Amino acid sequence: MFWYDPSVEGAWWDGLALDNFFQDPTDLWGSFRSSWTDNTGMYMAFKAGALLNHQAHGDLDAGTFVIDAMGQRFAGEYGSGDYLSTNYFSNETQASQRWTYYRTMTEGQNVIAINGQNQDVNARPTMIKGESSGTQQGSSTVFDVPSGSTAYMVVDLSTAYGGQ
Amino acid sequence: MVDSECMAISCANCLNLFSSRDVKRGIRFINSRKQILLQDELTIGSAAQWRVQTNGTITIDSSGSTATLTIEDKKMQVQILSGPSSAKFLDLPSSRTANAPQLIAGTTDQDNSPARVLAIDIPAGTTTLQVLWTPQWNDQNFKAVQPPSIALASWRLDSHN
Repeated sequence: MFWYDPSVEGAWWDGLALDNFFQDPTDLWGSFRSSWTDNTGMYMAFKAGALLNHQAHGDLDAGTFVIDAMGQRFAGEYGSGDYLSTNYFSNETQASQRWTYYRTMTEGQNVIAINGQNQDVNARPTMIKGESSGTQQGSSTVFDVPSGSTAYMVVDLSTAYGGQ
Repeated sequence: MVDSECMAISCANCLNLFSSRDVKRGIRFINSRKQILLQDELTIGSAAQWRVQTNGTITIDSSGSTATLTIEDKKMQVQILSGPSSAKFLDLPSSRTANAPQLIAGTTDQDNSPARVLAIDIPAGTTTLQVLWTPQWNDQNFKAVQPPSIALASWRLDSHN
């Protein structure tokens, strides 16, 4: 859960790294951007967390990503389905009716679907490797990415597809 | 590799006897955070489909290997750099395919239009699929690069310079 701290003042982006890896395996994800203060730059986020233990609020989305550029989101996620739909919050078992709705099922995400099937709810994705140049933005809202600054994240999704 | 659940002759949930599933995905910036490379390395016993939900209007070139996503006046070029020889982009509706689990009777999905799905069909077997995302930046100094082909296991900070 994220919340807003109204006491924060000033150039919060000053010294803030462009990239971050959130490595709790329940919610494993990474965020990567070209600037904190220019929403016409480039942004990507990539997640590979477990599919269980999200209070039936998650999707079958191991390996999904979003890509923003030039102020638009070109690869996106729908967010929630219909909270009032039948058994939408019933349970997280493989047979749950929650996973029959498009916005929560695997085909509704930005991932590979094998034979159209939903990912395995018992998936245990792992981050094989992730690195960042560690580039931080300075005090100005004008920021040029240093040449060669980069980040990457590689994950193993085999257990989401019945592998090991 | 044998899945012990699938040794019986009849196996309702058995997608593929003796299936071997290895699925790895990597994403990275290249070209000083001006382009993105998405790479999938798969060993799969059944055909699969790479899918991306997009608000962009999709156009696909005649070879099928380059798609352009357009939102207002902004364009994103998406290119298959390598993959199975049959790999080409498809423009699909933002709804499930016939292979996916179906809705239980009496339930419905939201209508996600005008969103579409940019898709690539992948045959069974061992595949490396590399897809390059290049925004059409409004910058005359921007030069797109084509990254080298490097296995995920060899990705480093400077591997694609």
